[in-house]
Amino acid sequence: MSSDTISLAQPAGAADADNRLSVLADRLTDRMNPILVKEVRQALKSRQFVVTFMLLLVIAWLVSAGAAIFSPNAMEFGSAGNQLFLIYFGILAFAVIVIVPFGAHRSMLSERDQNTFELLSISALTPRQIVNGKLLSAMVQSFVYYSAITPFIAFASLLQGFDLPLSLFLLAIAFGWSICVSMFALMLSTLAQKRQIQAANSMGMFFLLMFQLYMTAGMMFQFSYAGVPFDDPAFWWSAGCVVVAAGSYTLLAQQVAVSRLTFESGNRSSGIRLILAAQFWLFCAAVVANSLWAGLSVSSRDGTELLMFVAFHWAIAGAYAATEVDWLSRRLRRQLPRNPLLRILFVPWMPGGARGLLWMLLHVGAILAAAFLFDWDTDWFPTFVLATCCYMVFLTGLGAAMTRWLRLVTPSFRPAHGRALIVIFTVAISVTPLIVRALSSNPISEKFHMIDLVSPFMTLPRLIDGRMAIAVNDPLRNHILIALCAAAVLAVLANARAIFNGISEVVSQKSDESLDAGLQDIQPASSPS
Amino acid sequence: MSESEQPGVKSVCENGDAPATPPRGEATLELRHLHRFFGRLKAVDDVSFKAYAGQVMGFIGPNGAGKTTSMRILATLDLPTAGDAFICGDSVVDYPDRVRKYLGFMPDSFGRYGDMNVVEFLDFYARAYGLRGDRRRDAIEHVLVFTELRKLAEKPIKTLSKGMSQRLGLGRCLIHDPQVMVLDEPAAGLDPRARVELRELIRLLATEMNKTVLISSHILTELSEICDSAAIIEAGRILAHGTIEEIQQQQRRAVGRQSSRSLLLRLARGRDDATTTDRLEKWLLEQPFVGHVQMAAGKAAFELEGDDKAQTELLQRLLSAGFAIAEFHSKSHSLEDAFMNITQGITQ
Repeated sequence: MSSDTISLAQPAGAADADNRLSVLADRLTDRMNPILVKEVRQALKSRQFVVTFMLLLVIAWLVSAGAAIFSPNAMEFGSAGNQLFLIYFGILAFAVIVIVPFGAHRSMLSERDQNTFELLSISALTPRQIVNGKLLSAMVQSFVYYSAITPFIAFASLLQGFDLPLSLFLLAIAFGWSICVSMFALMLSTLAQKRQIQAANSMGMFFLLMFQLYMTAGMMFQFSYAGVPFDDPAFWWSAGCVVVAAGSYTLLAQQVAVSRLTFESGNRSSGIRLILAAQFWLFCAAVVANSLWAGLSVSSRDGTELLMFVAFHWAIAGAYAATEVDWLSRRLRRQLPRNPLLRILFVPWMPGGARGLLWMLLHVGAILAAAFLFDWDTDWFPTFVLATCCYMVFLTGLGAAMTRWLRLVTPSFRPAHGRALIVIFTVAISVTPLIVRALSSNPISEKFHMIDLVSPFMTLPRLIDGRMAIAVNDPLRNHILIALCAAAVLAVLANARAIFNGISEVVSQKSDESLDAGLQDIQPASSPS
Repeated sequence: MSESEQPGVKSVCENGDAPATPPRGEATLELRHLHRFFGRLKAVDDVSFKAYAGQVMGFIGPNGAGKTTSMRILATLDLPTAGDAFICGDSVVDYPDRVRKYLGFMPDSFGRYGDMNVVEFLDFYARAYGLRGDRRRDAIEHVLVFTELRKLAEKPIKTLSKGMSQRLGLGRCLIHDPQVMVLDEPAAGLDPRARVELRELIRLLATEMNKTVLISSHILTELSEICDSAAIIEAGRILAHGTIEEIQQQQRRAVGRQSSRSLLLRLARGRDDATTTDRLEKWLLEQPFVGHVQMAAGKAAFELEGDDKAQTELLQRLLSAGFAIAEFHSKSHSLEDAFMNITQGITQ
């Protein structure tokens, strides 16, 4: 019987001990996230939870009994503690990093399946509350599984060979990882709206979870057998970096989920841009801190690897931001600060494809500045960074311009289509030189052809020091750089007008006056003309 | 733009914690030049109307006319292409968070958490609308009493009948005591008794609780019994709106019979033979301000240009002419008649 039923059905004075407990629970949950309360209620009643919980207990009990019956000597005299812990840990890991995230994923999908999502979205709950409530519910379920396995781990701890620090470390990692994976699962569930896509999404999610279970379990067992160097500062430094990275990606997944649930006239973009930028700057800070801590400067070789990671980050971030609809809702325009300077600072962070491209260009500018202002140990590195940045700008800029043009042709062309277009375009230009070479008389020639220029994967390796590298003083290198710079500039020029409009939409205060003067078109792009 | 529409200005329904009754005369619900296009399809095309506190407004139109789209915009579930809608003076585009506090929306098909019982369901939505402690418990109790779901409080939702589910849906809309209720086809699929009971509840919302109710339905006879006013929409455009009487007048004006009334008369049995019926038709056609005469076995239907006095005089003349009149009354124009006359059956 629910607490509410009791509290409503009977006066407090007449309530028995159970009822008083229910009333107390009702009051305790009063300030809690409503989704958490609902989800926990539903989860604890659900067959999935009960079956998983019972299975966890039964399997753990069978393992304990089996160990006691079949290996009594190992239990008494051997080092069975660690082995037994690892078995319990495996059972727990399956529950908290597969079942719990999958439950969170299904929970969000079922809101759409059951037509309850719309009712949630018109309540006073914010999208963030909805997402956090689902995540907290997943955490509560993980807690329950942890508490169920605790007596068995306590039993293992009494045996020889049990390593307490290692066990605590693994349990903490599993819990943290469970939160990350649950958040990621929630984010994926917000991406699917149509029933067919939801089904595919669920299947994909299940296989992803099984894959990550395999990877995670492998890593955990590696830790347990090889040991963890708790006394090595480098280990803690690395662990700190991993925790920060995982935390930042969990936050990013949360922000994406929140954006997906945000009303169309709300701000779906700034939060994601802030987190993506923060990740970049945190990464840079970590590299600098690491070099300072180790007392070493970052070599060009290290810089190349780091740049590849950064380029990948900004290629995805740029494709996401630059393909948004160039439209700032009245609601967001009303929320802009009155101070003109603040408005200028707001420009790259506000929603809109052109502003998104500008946001990316500013960060690419920062990468270029780092490449040319710092003193590197080789001559080729700055030009290599320049070429990489040119490719990023060219692909993103061209994708943004094409997306804008296609949106004019058909209003049903969505940002997701634009992102897919950039990916397809990148793949197409990457394989084109390979096809041309395959059709030529000398397909395995090591000579650089100008057709190779269209593919970043064929050009960039030539700009790094190596056997097939184009020397720094080779005129061909300059020609390549000039061509790439020209392509990047052209891509920016193709978006120049949109960028200008995007800036003036935020900076100009005339739009504020027109907002109050009367009604304006809210979504001019989708007019039937 | 009125003051109440400016940011930061206290809204019509705002009064501390509890939604209050706005002053009579201020619209609590307004659609202003609302447009919603889906590609080339004009789902809602320049729709404007207002509704006031204590009023039940019918939103009538054939399937695909734009009712649900308009209602979804009002409920902040969709965004207009142009124009705006206001609930208690707050724009649904600019201030959806505020609007949601004043609005209770019941979609035509809404989801229920089947594994919850009635009170858990209401408790969840009370929490979702930010109700805490005794306010939450009181709100649930009030809704259970109002919707007469008290006895079913602990029953799982999946076991409720359609009628009870609709009551629960109405209860969910009411849980935060909104000033404006938007109900999309609430009586669809209900049996006659459940329909009558739901109709009574909706009527009470306006009369007892002074709420503004915008309701769409295909069952026009029912709407005419509970609605003070109506807006008729077809192919995304509003064809008529106002009180039922105003709509009928608009319609008469449109066909050029502004002051005409439809009258019905029946001759007494035994004195309604064919000869008398023919004589009556001829006599009626000779009378001034009488037209559109239609005869059928001792009965006549016709239009009279004039007021009550003209109608009385005509009756006196009929009796003087020796006709044995058993019935003589004006034909009431139903909402259904108005709807059929105004709409053209256009589908998009």
